[in-house]
Amino acid sequence: MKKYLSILLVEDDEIERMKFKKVCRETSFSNVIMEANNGENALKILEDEKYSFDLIISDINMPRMDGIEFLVELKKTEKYKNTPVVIISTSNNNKDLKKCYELGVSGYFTKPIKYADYKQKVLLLLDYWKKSELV
Amino acid sequence: MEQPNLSVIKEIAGEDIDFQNSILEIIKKEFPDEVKLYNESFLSKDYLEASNNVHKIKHKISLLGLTNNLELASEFEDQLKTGEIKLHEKFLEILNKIHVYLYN
Repeated sequence: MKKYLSILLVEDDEIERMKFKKVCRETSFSNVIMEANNGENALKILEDEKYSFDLIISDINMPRMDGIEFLVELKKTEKYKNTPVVIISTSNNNKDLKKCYELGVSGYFTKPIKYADYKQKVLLLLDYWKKSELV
Repeated sequence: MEQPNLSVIKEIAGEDIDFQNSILEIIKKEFPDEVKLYNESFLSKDYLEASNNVHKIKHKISLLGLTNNLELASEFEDQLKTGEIKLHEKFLEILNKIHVYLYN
């Protein structure tokens, strides 16, 4: 089992990034989190050879390059085309969901309004990927 | 009538007052620009963009504990995608209520 997860968080909303990092701090293991506020900036980080990520968490609705466009570009990269991507979004649009799975995401969940529910989902997600042989 | 409150922010922040204040500061900083963008999109009849603007503002509505208003905003967000604007006035009332709460 990995000792920690190296995560790229792609999310335009600063408060949502704070929320995610807060949950990560409350886990029993350390996580390394880098942040990008849209798909374009995320791709720039991914191009940098000094970084390596086990897991990518992405929103869908973002300015400049949204989550779907980001996924399309991500899948073209040799280094990250098989890296697990989990979408955390407020969008419950079936078209978005279908498109994300067509693009090979490993998970998709809509952001619960209640923080306790959000926290539980994120903790389950982190725990799952920490134990996974895939990362 | 539903009023903005700190219940959701307190739920997220727990006992961490600094975290609570950081969230509020971000809301105060971002809200006017988001409203300005919405107004610009709406006035120029770019309703698809206005729908995106409502989507962003919805998050603030949710954080300020306005559960019923969040439902209205979600409905308006969807309606704007089809060019339907009848909830505009009600949405402005929500924005005004938040403005009064944040800055007065």
